[in-house]
Amino acid sequence: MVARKSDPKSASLDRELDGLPPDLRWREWMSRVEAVIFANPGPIARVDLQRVVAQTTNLDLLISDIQADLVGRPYEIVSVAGGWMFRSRPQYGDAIRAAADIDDQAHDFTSEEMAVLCAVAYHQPLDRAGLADIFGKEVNRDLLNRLRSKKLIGNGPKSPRAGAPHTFVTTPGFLATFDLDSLRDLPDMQLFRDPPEV
Amino acid sequence: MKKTTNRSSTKPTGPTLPAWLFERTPPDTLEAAAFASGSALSFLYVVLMDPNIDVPGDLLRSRLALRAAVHSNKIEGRQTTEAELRDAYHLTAPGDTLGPNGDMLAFWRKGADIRLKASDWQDRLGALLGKSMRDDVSVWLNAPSKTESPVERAGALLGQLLIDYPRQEANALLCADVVLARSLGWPKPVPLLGHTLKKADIRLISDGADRRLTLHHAIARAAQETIRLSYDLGRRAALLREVAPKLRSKGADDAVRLFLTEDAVIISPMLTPIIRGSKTAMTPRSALRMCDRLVALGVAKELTGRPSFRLYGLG
Repeated sequence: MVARKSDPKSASLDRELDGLPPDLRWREWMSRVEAVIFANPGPIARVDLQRVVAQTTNLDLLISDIQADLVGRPYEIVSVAGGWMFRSRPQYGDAIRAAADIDDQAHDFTSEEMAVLCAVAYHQPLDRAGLADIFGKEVNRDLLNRLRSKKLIGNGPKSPRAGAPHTFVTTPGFLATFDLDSLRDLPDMQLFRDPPEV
Repeated sequence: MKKTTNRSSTKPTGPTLPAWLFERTPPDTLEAAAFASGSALSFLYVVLMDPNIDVPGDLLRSRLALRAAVHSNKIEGRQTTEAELRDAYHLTAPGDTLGPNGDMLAFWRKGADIRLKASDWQDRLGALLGKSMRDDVSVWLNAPSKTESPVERAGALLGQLLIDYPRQEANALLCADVVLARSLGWPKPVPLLGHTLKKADIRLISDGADRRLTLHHAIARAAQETIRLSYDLGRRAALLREVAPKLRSKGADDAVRLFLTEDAVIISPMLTPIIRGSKTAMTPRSALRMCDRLVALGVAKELTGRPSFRLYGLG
């Protein structure tokens, strides 16, 4: 993806760009950062981006300017797992799947599965009895096993009650699947008006 | 010649603490704030290191790690209690997933257990951080240090990490506590900033505001609390050691040692079938009897209030 030039040494990169007037310099920094994010296959960290602009450049302002330029394009720059990456906008998902025939079986969830995932994510650690309290009925073991085999939930600490049933907790795979940096990126629970149904 | 008072006749009434050190209102000048944090830290040094006070250091760090984990969760927007974190950590079977609460406690426990005089201390710290932060911290630690105070040095790293990694506060706080402990010559990190620096303080520091006053206040407050906690634990540890010979259970010595290093002790698997950190076997029955006896003797507490899956701790 990178058109490699003959001299790729980053040490020789002019980060300050003192020769340019301020607006052109800002433009050049934006282009560099955009190119680096584009060329990187996964999320790229702040420190890596900071290496191609001046030490004092405010990366957040720079990236929000790039994002403003991308309004109306079918792709965007998103913050994922502590870095930034390009991503096609969600509404083009169907088109991309139709063209590329991407096998996304692993990421298809029924509404029941989603509801159980949400319950675990927000209330973890949560055992089957806890899930039953939330949904008003027993949650199917097969469904829980499916989520476990997709490595979205795992066996957590034991619940301190008779029989010591294990609880369920979310995994790093859960965060990656839903593009979350950490659990703090879960939407605020106040946003849900109606309790989920199973 | 003056008559000397007979010291042995006076009952010990607890430690002599200078009242001015424990002033309630935080000073508003930088000089006064630096004086407060500096004097609290040097007092804490004596408390931690003086064999006459004999503070159970591992137990102290275990307690503070728990507090720091609750505090870090709070910074991340998750309101949790110490009891919840203890459960998550102690009730997870080997091979199962600790989950976010257990992970946070494990993180602080490992962090507070790094031997800072050992040659691999940087690797052990690095193993707890993500890859890119690990590299940055390593560069920072190995840069020639300026003539700055321990608080300034910890603050400089904290400030840089909070700005470069805005959503990894727990990592940044641990690194700052590690640097502080190294600069002060402590054998292992004592989570101080980790359980005191408020979310609002962190926001100020990430915004690049002058952090010095905030840091001195936080460190002074944390050191003062830790001085009190240390004396309290030292006193309780002495009581436990005093009654230890009365325990007739086989392996009582090993079990007592566990109570002097761990914030919470769970019967299985920490005491039975083998007492952790030893080769001594103990039956569940004998372990339970010993814990009940420690509670009856007033040197331990049951921490959960549950009839089963109980956790015991010095108290």
